[in-house]
Amino acid sequence: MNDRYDSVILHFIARVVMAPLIIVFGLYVLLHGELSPGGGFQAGAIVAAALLLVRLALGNRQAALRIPQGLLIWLACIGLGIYMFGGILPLILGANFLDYAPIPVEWYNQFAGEHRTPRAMGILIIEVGVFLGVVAVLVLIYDLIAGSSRQ
Amino acid sequence: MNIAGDVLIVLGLAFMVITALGLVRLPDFFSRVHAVSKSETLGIALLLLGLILHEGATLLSLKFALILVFVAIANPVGAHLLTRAALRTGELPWRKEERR
Repeated sequence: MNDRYDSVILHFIARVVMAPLIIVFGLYVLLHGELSPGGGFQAGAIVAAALLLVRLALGNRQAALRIPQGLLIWLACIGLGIYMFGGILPLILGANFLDYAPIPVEWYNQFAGEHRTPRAMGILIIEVGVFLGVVAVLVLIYDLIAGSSRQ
Repeated sequence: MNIAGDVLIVLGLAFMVITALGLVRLPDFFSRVHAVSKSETLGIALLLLGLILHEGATLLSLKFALILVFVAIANPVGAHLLTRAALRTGELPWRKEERR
């Protein structure tokens, strides 16, 4: 946004109030993905919306959360890698691709004190991968479009 | 508790009707934004408070309260930005002499 329409209220609300709240809500949607409506894609879209809100409100150059494009591409690839890991891990343990039943969860349940089933654990791994990929690609799309129009 | 919730919901709907009326009836941009930003925020607040009273202390009413907080933050800021942008691009406020 150029200086003519700048507003301290917008800066404060977007950067200090709204973006952290939206990111926390996105993580909630991610971690409740197997129990309630939500999941990796929705959570990724919400967190990407928070990052894009900061970019729209403060301008691309001043955005405090600006991430270089190489890092975004790496994040998308890491998300894809986590998805592949969640898919191939059951294959190694002796089941079908993306069949979460043999994933070991006892150590996690002892560590965190929860009662997570293998399927819930597998879905969580997959969704974290999808989440990283969606956040990175959505922010990357915005950065590329906005960057090309600025020159 | 249910009756109190019903009363709050009807009050909120009344505020929303007033908002829609103001959006159609008021003469220029600034007074329309004024009507929408104030009374619609209050209308949604009353509506959600009524729903919270209906629901009691559950997770769902916590989510209603969160929606209330988000709307109460976003709606005035949006109105502020709209009026600011309109004023700086040369939209003049309505005066009593000009009829519309």
